[in-house]
Amino acid sequence: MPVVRTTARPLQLVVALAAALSLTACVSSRDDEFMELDPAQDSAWAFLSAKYDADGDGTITAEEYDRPGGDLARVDRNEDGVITVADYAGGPSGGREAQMMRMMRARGMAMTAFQDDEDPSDLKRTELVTAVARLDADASGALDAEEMAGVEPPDVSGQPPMVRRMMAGATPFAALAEVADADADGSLSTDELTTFFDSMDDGDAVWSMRRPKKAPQGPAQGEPAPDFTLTPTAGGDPVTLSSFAGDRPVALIFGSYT
Amino acid sequence: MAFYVVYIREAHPLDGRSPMGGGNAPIVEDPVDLIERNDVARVCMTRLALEPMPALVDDVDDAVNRAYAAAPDRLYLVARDGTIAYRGGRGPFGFLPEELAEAIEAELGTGGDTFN
Repeated sequence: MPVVRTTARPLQLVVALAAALSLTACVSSRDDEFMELDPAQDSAWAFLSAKYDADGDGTITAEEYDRPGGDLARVDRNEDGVITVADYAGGPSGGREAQMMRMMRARGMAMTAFQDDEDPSDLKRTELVTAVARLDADASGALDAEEMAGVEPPDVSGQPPMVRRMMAGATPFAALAEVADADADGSLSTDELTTFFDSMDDGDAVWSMRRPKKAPQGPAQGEPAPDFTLTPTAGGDPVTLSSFAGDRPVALIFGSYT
Repeated sequence: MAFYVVYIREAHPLDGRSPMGGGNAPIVEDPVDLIERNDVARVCMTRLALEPMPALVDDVDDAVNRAYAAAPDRLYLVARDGTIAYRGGRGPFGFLPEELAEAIEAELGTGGDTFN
């Protein structure tokens, strides 16, 4: 039996959902421009050195990086075989934050620009191809700024501040061109767009660019909710989703701290 | 009505492909076992003041995450009859609490068993 149940009175619902909003990525405590991290303050090196630099010599060797299941190559950003402050100059991704934000912005634009709304939960390769063909007024095989001029950016008015800042003032074509126009010819071909999305597909199809039958969708409306039994963080008895069937609805808020 | 946070794998662990963190934002290494992920989840629930809501932790095989295609964040409503009443879009752009609120009101207003 579950440890805690809440009654969905209106005020509690509002509070719960407002709290849920803070689980979205990086929303809770950033109060400055994400892209302007001061290298002198990079907490990533401070974090790692405090945890692993046993002899305090400013270098974390493979022996010192004794994390079970850890892989030094994943944190050795400059690939010199050890972890030093140089790996994290400019922030946790070694100065790649600005590029990461550009890529996220481009993805966000594409989701709105190219999906066909049948399933707004992801973007499939077929949707991309169809959308490009639809927008390609001169049938050149690629989209230029003029052809994409009428494409609306996503409505982010209800999104966390980080997302709003990321999208502010951007246009779909410009946002995509700055990351995906590989040959810098001022137009976005289907190949260039596909290559860009493939590069971002980290294997769990967050923005699915795989063929539809391979893309995990999650259960659709009306389908049975996959059952699970998980342990509460607060301890106590495990909770089984199906134990609520016939009793009460269950809202599930999936997320992580980062 | 029951609410659960389901804590899944980190969206931006320090040793992942798209690390974030630093300044005031959390730096989290990718948890290697359930105990470690549970510790991170508890810190998260405390720091984000979500503690009144119970949180469940997905094991490091990410089974529930994959079953629900939930990463990086996502909202679902399971109806009284055990079927999906609402499936939100993928986060961050698809993560829309007001949609979940509407779905909850619809589910409670009409009652899941009314049409059975």
